Amino acid sequence: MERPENWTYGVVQVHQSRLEPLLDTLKKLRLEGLSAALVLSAVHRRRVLPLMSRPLRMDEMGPDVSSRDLEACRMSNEALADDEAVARVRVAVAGEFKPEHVNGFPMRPDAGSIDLVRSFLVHGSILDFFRSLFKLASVLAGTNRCPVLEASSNGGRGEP
Amino acid sequence: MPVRLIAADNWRPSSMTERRLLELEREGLLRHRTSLSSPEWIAPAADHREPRPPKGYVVSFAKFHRHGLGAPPSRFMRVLYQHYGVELQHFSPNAITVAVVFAAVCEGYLGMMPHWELWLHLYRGELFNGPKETTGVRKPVRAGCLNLMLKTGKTETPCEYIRWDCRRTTPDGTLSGSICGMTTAFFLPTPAA
Repeated sequence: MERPENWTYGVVQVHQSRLEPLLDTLKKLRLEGLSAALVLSAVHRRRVLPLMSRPLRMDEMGPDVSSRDLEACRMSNEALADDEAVARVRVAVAGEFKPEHVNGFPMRPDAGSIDLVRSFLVHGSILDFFRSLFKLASVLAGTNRCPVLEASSNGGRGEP
Repeated sequence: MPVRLIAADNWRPSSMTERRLLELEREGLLRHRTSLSSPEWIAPAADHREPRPPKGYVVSFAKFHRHGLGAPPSRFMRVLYQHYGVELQHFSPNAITVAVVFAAVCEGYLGMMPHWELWLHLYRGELFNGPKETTGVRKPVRAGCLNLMLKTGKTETPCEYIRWDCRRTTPDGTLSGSICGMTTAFFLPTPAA
């Protein structure tokens, strides 16, 4: 009983440069203090299960979308108490997580969500900002492709 | 040293009843049951020693839903099944949390669908075999054998991405299938291909 080879596949080398802007952005989110516990608390606060099929992405759950779509995304219309959100986070990740940390890093499009443009300007040069913005736009333009198709178009494999 | 595998532990009867599943529903962790002919979830029969999902259903565990799993599965989750060649029961609870956080970061902070190449770049799958007291002897686990973890190659600095502290319950830092909650098994519809 051994680990199948494709469990360690990576991305083919020629495509790795496409990931740079995303990796840069992830690093910036981390610099701003994003942690797994904060992500989970934001998820529970929004009453969404990220691995469930939904009509809207989480960043699309704003005031301008239909209430029907919002209801299809949420598991409940009732807000979750901070204590309950903390209990759910503690089930999944280790470490100290307190009620005051709930909503410490709101998701888009909620008020207080991180402005990635501002973050780029604070942590990098103007040139880096525009370079990253351009790359990020190129990547995002291709992200509506079906991941299944992306996986199967390269056989789901890259370099280990 | 070569590792010798011995027989896996047997399944244990599930303690999940309709009442307990309705509690999960009330907590917003399961979809409401709306159909009698193809219900959104099914409780196992009390007298079955091992899970026997009806045709068109797969085994899930209450713990997975407390870690953020939802049904029906998103496209990203279905790609995970397909890529790793596993069923839902084979994921460890930590693997579910890892996938939940990744999907949430992509959607809620980066503003895009979960990016498959980014996933492949950051994460790898690991097979978990349960330890025995004797050195070099491991036993396969019936559930929770797939761990998903950040790659830690020489040139990679995974901590640069997102701070991550998994729940650790075994010496090697993984969650074993035996604590994946075998006694909380119930059934969900088979995900569409």
